[in-house]
Amino acid sequence: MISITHVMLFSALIFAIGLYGALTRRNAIGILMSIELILNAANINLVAMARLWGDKSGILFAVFVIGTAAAATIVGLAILIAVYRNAKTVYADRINLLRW
Amino acid sequence: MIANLVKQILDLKIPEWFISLSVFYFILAATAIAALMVVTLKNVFHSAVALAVTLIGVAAVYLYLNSEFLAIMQILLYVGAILTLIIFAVMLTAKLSDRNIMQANEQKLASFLLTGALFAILAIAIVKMKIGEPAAGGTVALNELGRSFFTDYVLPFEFISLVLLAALIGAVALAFREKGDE
Repeated sequence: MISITHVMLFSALIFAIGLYGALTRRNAIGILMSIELILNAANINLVAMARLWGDKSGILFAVFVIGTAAAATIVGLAILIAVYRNAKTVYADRINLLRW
Repeated sequence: MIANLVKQILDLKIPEWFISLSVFYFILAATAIAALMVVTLKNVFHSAVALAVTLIGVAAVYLYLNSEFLAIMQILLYVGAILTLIIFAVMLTAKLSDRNIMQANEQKLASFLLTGALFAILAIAIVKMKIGEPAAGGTVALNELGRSFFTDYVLPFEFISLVLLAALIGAVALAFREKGDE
């Protein structure tokens, strides 16, 4: 029998790693990948709770989270491609057109 | 010689739960290391490959948590679709031959301290929660999940399809190059 506590610790670790990546990456695609890590950490927690209480709502919500993550990634990458076409860079600290 | 060795190992009669647990912790460790590689590797393409390993590892964790449906969804959607998109974007934008460019900004130390402290707080909270053993019972049946999607959760289900459609059209509109827009 696997321990739910260890799964939740693992989820917290993945979340921390994802947050670190989102804060330090310069490449905007790297930031998007870190956000995927964070969403996966949330999903692991949802499924772990579904397993803990024998309730299926956690799994259903995890499916919705996957759908939202797909939408976010699609739009994010489209914005990135558009920005790259205009600014010729994907480095988040170089894209400062709207900075005052 | 090798056959003898395999026979000896098989004769040891390692209990099944021990093998299962060792594989579980091996998967956790491998996934965590791959996640670390996602955020630290210099080459963005390599970190995309590490992301694939991480997502497959998470799918394996879903299998251990008795939700086969979500594991399959994870591999189909994340590894199959989203990761392909990310690799496409990497190929379209990054100058892969340029290795000298800095991939991390100057906030490395501050971010490490912040996320380390956050993880410590979360870990203490999780350990102090004293979560008990999971409820008995096997997997949630797939037909039960499908029925929930079309009865109790039909509004969010339809809503997510609308969101995906809007995202798709928005992505096409954003990335579409108009004529004379060079």
